[in-house]
Parts: sequence; structure tokens; C-alpha cells
Amino acid sequence: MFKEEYKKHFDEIKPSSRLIEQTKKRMMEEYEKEVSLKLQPKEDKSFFETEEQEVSPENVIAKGRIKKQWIVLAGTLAAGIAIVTTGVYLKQHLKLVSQNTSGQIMLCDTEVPEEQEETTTGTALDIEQKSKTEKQKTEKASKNKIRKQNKSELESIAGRSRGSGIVLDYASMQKVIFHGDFGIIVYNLADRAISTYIPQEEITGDIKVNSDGTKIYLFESVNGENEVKEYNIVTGEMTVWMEFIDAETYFANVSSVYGSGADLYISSASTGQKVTIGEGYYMQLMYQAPSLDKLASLSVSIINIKEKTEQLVCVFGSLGEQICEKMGQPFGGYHNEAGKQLFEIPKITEKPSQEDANEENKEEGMETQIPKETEKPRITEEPKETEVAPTEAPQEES
Amino acid sequence: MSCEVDEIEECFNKAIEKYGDMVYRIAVNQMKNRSDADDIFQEVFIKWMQYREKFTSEDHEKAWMIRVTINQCKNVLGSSWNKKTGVLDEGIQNTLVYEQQDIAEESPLMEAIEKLPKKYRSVIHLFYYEDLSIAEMSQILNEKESTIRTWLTRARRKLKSLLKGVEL
Repeated sequence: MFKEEYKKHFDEIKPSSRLIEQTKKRMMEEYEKEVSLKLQPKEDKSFFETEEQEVSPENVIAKGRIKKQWIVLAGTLAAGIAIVTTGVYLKQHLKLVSQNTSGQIMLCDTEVPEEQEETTTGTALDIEQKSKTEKQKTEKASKNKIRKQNKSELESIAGRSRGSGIVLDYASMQKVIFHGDFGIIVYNLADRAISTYIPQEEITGDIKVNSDGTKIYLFESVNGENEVKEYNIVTGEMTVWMEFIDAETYFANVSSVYGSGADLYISSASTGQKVTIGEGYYMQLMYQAPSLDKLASLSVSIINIKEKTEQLVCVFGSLGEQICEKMGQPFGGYHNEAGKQLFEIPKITEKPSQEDANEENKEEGMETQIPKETEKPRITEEPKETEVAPTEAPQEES
Repeated sequence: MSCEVDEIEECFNKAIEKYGDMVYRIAVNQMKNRSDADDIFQEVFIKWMQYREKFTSEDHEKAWMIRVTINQCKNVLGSSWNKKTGVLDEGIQNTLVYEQQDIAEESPLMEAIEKLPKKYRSVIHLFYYEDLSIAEMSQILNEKESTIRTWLTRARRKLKSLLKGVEL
């Protein structure tokens, strides 16, 4: 039904006789052009020559075609030359040094070399000699440049940083550390991925990175005391360093004990304990009972009396949890001894059994473990096994 | 020379006689109007003239004709000129005298066909008018057989919805 109707309709559609005639005429014209082109002798002089030729429509068309071809050829050549010259110019002035293997751009130097600014005057020989020496100089300079970049990455690259609002803290062939409004980012160049991220909320002061790019220091002033958070990129551990004025005020309301044992901490939970671990070194244990704006916290730190520094090595471990449980207080979060929350509250997956905890306490004594969960929400690197805090065995005072 | 010219003229006449209607119908089907179809018709035969010595068989020649016609239509439809030009106002259109009326006015079937996308129009035409198989269409249109089948099915479905009560 449809097919018949369709066919019937299209059967009526035919090209008009006028169209057919026109088409034939055009075809003949085209054919004549074709033939004339074929018949044209190869030894024909080019259309540029002014010798007299037969002025026929075929000749005119042929000329036109050749002219078009020449124009196209000249245009292509001109475009090619323009591209090449632009490329050379850009290469000279931008000097992009890239490493093909890793694909990372090492340096973007937009400064024009001083040598190029000098105007050269003199004889042809002088000019030749100058150009040779310039070449040698530039070759040497480029070699030196590359070597320098490898050696002192931080100095050379930081000076050329063009990122607005971003400060480059460290750079090497392996990683780049930079910070901005967003926080701190440790970017692994080999993996081409962010390996560590510290959010902006954690940064309230200056940021420094050590010379080998393994530690990030976050400087802060808390209640007039200088605090430094030391973040170890490799292990994912955070240690807080604090400065104190004098030992007497610092250790006031802190009972001195000798030896170790879990019960001691429980009994003195709301005050604090001072354990001598060496000459001028103390281990301090502080338990902060929960209050309106503070969570319960247990901190362990090493105090250097001479340097007047406190190294906060642990805030809340299995021991702290145990104490909280015994006292019926809520447990969670990582805090310094002032009750300030250091990081987000981590999810504790496994609670150690009572027996294990007791054994652990007995075995470890004063040694405390830095909890694994500390950096968990932000660190993409696989955290290493938690290290035991570098504490010395307590010495009993006679 | 004159003898050769006569022969060529005859050759052209034969070609137009043989493929003229087919080319023109495909062009009308694609372009939806006769004035554009006229241009396509001329262009296709000019191309045929330049290519005429390279055909290996009649089937080859026919397939080439269909493909070139459809491609030529595509080129015209896709050209910037065509994209930038709009439809004339009715008042102006009435002042122009056409040799033949536009096809859309002639039947509701063609109105429905016109509403189809051009690729569907081409498969419908080749299938229902030129009686080409799906394999042949796939070769001519340079598409997979499954694609042609899909186009044909969709075109039929759309036509069915447009032409209520018509069996395809």
C-alpha cells in the first residue's frame, strides 16, 4: 500500500526537459575543456611569458587553472615558512625544557638571554667568531642549567613560580610540595597523583618543609606559646612541639612518679604525671577530663628542660580509651593537653580487649604508640606501621 | 573530431536517460524541493562525466550514481550557505513562478516523508523505490547492515505514527 503510493508519487517526479538540456550543455562544455587541456602541448610556455598566444576560451581557462595552482602552491609555502619562523621564535624565547620520559615540564623561562640584547658591530669575521662563541656559551649554559635544576630544585624553581596564590615549598624530581588557600598538597611526580593533602583548617601559621621533603612543619601560636606541628610525610605521623617558659610553672599541679603502671595513670588521671626518663628529660602524662567544650583526652609528651620544649608524641592511645571506659567518659578524637582537637575524630574499628590492653600496658610501660588513625582521612599514602615513640627506659631515682 | 563529439553526446544522452530519473528522484527526496534537486542533478552528471571511464560494471556505475547523489545533497545541506539561508515569506514565494509545484503540497505521504531525517528518507527511498536490499544499501551508503536495518525500522515506525492507518 505504502510502497505503491510512494512509487506512484515518485514516478511522476522527473527532471524537466529544460534541465536535461542544460545539463547536457554543461557536460559538453566540461568535455571541451577537458579535451582542450589534453590537447595543450606540454612545451607550452608558462602563462607568465608575454609571447603572443592564441586567445581562445580554452587557453584562458587553462591559464586560469595554472594560475590557481600557482597561487595555492605559493600560499602553502608562505604558510609553512610562517609556521617555521614562529616555531623558531617561540623556541628561542620560551625555552621549554621538557622530559619526554615523564612528560613533566621542568622549567618555563621567559627571560630573554642577555647575549641576544647586545648589538653586534664589526667585520664579517668578527661577527662569525662572535656567533661561534655565543653558540658555545648557550650550549654550556643550557647544560649547566639542567644540572642546576637537578641539584637545587627548590631555589631555582621556587624563584620561577608563576602560580598566583600558590607557594612552592619544596620540589624535587620525585615530588612537589606547595600550599595555597586550599591547604597543603604533596604531589608525587612519578605517580602523577596527590599523595598527601592537609586541609586549610589545619594551617593557621607559617609552613616550612625540611630539606629532603619528608617533613612538613606547621607553625602556630597557641595562647602565647609557640607550637609546631611536625607532619612526617613518609610515616604519616604527627608530632606536636611546644615551647614552655619555666619548669616550675609548667609542672605545677603535676605529680612526679617513678616507675610505670597502668593504675598510676588512672589514679592521677585528672591532674598529670611527670616521669624522669633521663637527665633533663621528662615524660609527661596528662589526662583532661571532658568538659563542655573539651573532649576527654590523654596525652603523652617528652619534655626537654634545657631547651624548654615539649614534644607531644601521643594523644589518646589504647590506654586513653581504656581510662575513658573505666571512668565512663566518652572517648574520641585526638587532642593536645590543652584540650585542643588536633584532627578529626577517627573511626576506631577494633577495640582492644581488656586482657590485651592490660598486657600491653604491662609490657610497654611508659612507651606509647602513636595511633594509626591520626592522618587517616587525609593521607593517600599507605601508612607505615606505627612507630613506638622514642622514649628511653625510665630511670629510677635513688 | 565531430564524429567523436557526436559519440560523446550520445553517451551523455544515454547516461541521462538511464540514470537521470533515479538521480533526480533521490535529489528531490533528499533536498525536499525541485530547485535544489536541479542543481544536484547537474553536479552529479558533471561528476559522472569526469569519472565515466573508470566504471567497471553497470552495478558499479549505478551504485556510484546513488552514492554521489546522496553525498552531493549532504554537501549542499551541510554548506554554510544552506545553513544561513532561511525560507522565504509566503508573500514573496507566491510572486515567484515555479515550473512545477513543490512536492509537499501534493500528498500527505510526502509531507510525512519530509518530516523524516535525511538518512531515514534515503533508506526509505532506496528500499521502497529503488528496490535495493539492505546489503546493497549498506554498500552504497557505506554503513553497517545493522545500522541500515535500524534506520529502516525507525523510519517505518515514525512513518506509521505520522501516517495513521497506513501499512508499511
